Amino acid sequence: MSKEQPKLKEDISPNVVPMIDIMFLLLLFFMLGADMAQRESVDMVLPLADQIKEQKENEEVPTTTVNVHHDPNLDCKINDSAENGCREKGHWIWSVRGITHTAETLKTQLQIDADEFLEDSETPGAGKKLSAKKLLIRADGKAPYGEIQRVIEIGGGVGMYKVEVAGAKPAAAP
Amino acid sequence: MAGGGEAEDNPVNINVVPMVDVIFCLCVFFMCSFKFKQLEGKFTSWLPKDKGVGGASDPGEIREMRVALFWEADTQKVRRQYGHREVPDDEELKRILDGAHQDFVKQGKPDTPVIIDGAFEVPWQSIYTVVNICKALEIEKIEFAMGANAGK
Repeated sequence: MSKEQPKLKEDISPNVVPMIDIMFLLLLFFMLGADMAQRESVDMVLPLADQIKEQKENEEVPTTTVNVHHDPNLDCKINDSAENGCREKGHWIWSVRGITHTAETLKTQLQIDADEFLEDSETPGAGKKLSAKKLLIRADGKAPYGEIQRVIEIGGGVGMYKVEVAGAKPAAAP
Repeated sequence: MAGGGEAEDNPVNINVVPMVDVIFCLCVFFMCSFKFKQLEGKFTSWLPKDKGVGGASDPGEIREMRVALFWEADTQKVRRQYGHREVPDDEELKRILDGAHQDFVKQGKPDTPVIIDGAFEVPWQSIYTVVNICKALEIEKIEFAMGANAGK
């Protein structure tokens, strides 16, 4: 009577359960970090200033954001190569909530935004009720100053006197 | 016979390989589209309420703190002046503005604004640097003007 050697079944398949757990966590992290919504802010290189105070995301005060940036549809190599960027007047655009505006349409849009939140009483010097809404100007560091100044003038003309200019803090030196 | 369930006893075998593949793809998608946001802040510069849109300064005031920035088209550089004096260095401008501001404070006019008068073509970063210097000196009143002519 021969004894049969028992066949040893060795299971060499790796346990993938921890890997799937980690992958789920990574997926969750990147999904929460992704921002798919249309944002008021356009990607641009903001001017640097070390005195800047960081913006609080949950500020209650209503704000209209005007972005001043180089037209991405133009194939302008000067803006990328020159130290001070492109100086052509027609190459810089204003956009509010993703929509590009001319001077006339910007004035109309800002007037609508300004009239949404008026102050309670008339300002004596201005002779009308000014807007309680803030005007936040996000301009590329290379943008011509004149473009920003015109936005300020248009904002002032419609009663938006609370002007803010956005910037970024320089990276800390190692 | 008591014992743990063998794999062969489980009639429902879920194949997790496609699920892992899909998760890999989603991971790669979100990792590639992930961007670190640049931390942003802002400076406030409220326009004067009582002067209307034009914002004309009081004609009685002769002395003012005016920083003029010109654009040199031939060299593609910014030239900065305080009064008739060229001030290319930020530290020097800071000293000058600090001195001028302290003078106004002693005269009982601490609200005298710094007027930043730039030419149209001057890059915004140059203007912003002057605003930054004013904020470092705790000069809250800053006015923006546009009247500096190139080359003058």
